[in-house]
Amino acid sequence: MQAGQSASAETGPFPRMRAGLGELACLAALALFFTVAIVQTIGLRFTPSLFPRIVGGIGLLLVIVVIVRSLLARRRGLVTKPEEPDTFLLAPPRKRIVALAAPVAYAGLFVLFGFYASAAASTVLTPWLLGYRRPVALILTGIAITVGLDLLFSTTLGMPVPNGIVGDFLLRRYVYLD
Amino acid sequence: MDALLIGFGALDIYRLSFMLIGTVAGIWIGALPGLGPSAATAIILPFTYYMDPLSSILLIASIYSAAGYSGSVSSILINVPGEATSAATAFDGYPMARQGKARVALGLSLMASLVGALAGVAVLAFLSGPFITIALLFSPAEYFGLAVLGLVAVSAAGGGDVYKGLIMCCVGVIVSFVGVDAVIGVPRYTFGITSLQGGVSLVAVMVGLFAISEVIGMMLDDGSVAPSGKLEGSLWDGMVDTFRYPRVLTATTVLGLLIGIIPGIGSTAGNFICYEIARRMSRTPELFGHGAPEGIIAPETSNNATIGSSLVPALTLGIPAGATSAMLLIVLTIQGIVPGPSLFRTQPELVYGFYVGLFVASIMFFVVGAVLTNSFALITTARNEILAPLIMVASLVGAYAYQRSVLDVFIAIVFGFAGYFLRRYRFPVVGIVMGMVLGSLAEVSFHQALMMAAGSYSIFFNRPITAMLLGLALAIAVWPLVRKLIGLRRRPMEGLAETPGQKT
Repeated sequence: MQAGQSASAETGPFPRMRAGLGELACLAALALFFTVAIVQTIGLRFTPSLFPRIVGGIGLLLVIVVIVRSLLARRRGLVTKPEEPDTFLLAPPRKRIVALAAPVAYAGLFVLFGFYASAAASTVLTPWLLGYRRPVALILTGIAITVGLDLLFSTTLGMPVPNGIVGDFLLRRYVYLD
Repeated sequence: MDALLIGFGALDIYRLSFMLIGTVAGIWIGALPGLGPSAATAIILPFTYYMDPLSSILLIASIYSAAGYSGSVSSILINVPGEATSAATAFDGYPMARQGKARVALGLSLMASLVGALAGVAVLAFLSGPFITIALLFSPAEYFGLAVLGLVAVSAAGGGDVYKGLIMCCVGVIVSFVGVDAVIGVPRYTFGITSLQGGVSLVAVMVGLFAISEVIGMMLDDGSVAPSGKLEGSLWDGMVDTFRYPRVLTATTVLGLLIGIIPGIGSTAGNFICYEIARRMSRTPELFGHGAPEGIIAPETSNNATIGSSLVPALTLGIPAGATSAMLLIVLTIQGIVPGPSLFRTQPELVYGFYVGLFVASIMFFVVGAVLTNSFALITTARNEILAPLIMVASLVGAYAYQRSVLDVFIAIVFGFAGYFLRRYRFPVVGIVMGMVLGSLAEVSFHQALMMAAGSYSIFFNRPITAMLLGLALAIAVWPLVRKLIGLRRRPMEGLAETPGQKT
C-alpha cells in the first residue's frame, strides 16, 4: 500500500489478518536470529564478542521497535501488505509447491547425481510442472543449457562441474575400475 | 605529453588483442547471474602467469571494466546483480525492464559506465598525488565512520522503511562474522562446521537473495519479465537520456572518484551512497524504485569511476582500495613487480601503458557492449516458466563454481527463501549484502580505533572527519522520522492515514 492510502482501501485477494501475521512472522524470525547471534557469543573472549553483541543488540532493538510499531498499526487497522498483486497467494497450489520445491530438489539432485542430471532434469521437468507443454522445445532447451553451461565452466573456464556422490561412485566403479 | 606517448607506444597489436579478448570475456562472464567482475577476474587470473606484465594487467583491467558494466545487464534484465557492485542498479533498472524499456535502461547504464570509466582513468592519470594526500589522513576511526555511513545510506537508499533497512544491514554484518574473526583469529558462528571457518560466500548469498528469490517469484507468475512482451525504446535513447541529468552525472562521478580512492570502502558502498544522493537531488524522488533514469545513472557512473580511481593508492602506495586493485596487485606480484613510487621511475612504460590501456578498454567495452546488449534485452520477453529454471540452474552452478563448494549451493537456497519472504514484506534485502561487504571493515577499524584511543570511545566523536561521517549517518537515519514528524504537525490527518512501514 502506498503512503497516504487509508486502511479502508485495503482490500485484496487475501485476508488482512494473514498479511499482518506474515510480517510479524518475518520479524519474529529476525528476532530469533539476533537472539541466537547474541547467545552464540557467550563464552567468546571480549574482542571477538564485542562487535557481534553490539550489532546483534541493535538489530534486536530495531526488530522490537518495528514489531511494536506493527502491532500498534494493526490496532489501528493498518498492516504492511505484500506486493500487489500477491503472486504467492494468487498462484495455484501446484505452482506454489513447485516454486518452493524446485530449488531444494535441484540442490539434492546436484549433490547426489551431479550437474548433468540435475541441470537436465530441472530445465525439462520444472517448466513442465509449471504448465509449459511443449516437450520437444523443453528437451532441446534442457540439452542446450546443460551442454552450454558445461562448455562454459568445464571447457572454457577450466572449472569442472561435479558428478555427484552417485556419479563419482559409478565413475570409480565402472570407468576408473578402482 | 611524454607520458602519453610512452603509454601509446607500449600498446601494440598483441596487447590490444588481449584487451579485446578480455573485454568480450568480461562482458560475457559478467552478464551471468552470480558471476561479477571479481569472479570473472579471478577465473582469468591463472592465464596471466604466462604473459608479460603489461599484457597481464591490461587483460585484467579490460575484464574488470567490461564485467563492471555487464554485471548491470543481469541486474536490469532479471533483477539478478552479477555482483554486489551492480545491486543498486537493479532498484530502477529492473522496474524499467518490466515496463518494456530494457534497451533504454541498458543504454543509460552503458553511457553512464563510459562516463564514469573515463573520469576514473583521468583521475588515475592526472590527480594521483593530491588524492593520496587526502586518503592518508584517514585513520581506522574514519574507516569505521565510512562503513557506518555506507550501511545507513543503503538502508535509506530504497526509499522504504529505514528501520527495516537497518535490520537487514545488521543481519548482513552478523553473517559476515561467520568464520574466523579478523581481529584475533577466533572462530565464531561456525556451529562446528569446518567449511564455515572460511566464512559465508558473498557470491552464494547474492545468488540466493537476488537470483533464487527472483526465480521463486517468476515461477509463480505467468508471463515474462517484461509483462507486455514488447520492448520499447532503443539503446540510443538511453545513451542520449544519460545527458539529460548533468547534475546527477557530475555529482556521482566526483563522489565515485572520491570513494574509490579511499582504501577499503569499495564501489558497492559508493554506488549506494550515490544512488541515495541522486534520489535526494532528483525533482521526482517518488519515481526512484519504479524505473527512474537517475537511479541507473548514479550507481553505474559511480561504479565505473571507482574502478579507475581505486587503482591510485594501489599503484602508488601498494594499498588495494578495492577488489579491482587487489586483483591488480596479485598480478603484479605474480610478475615480480613491487608497486610504489619507484615503479613510476623504473618502469614508466608499464605505468603509462596501463593508463592508456585503461582508456582504450573503456572505449572497447562501450563499443562491444553496444553491439551485444541489444540482443541481451530480448531475454526479458522469454516466458517465465522457461526462464526461471534456466536462471536457477545457471545461478546455482555459479554459486558452486566460485569456491567449488556444495555448501554454497545450500547457502544460496536458504538465502533465496529468506530473500523471497523478506521481500514480500518490503525488507530491503540488499542491506544484507552491504552488511556482509562492510561488516569486517567496520569491526576491524572499530577495534583498531579503540586501540589507538586506549579503549576510549571518545575517538569516534573527537576526530572531526569521523564525527562528520557518523553525524551524516545519523542524519540520514533520523531524517525520515523528522520529516514525518514535520508532516504530522502540518497535516495531522494525512499523517495518521499513512501506513507504517511504507514508503516515506
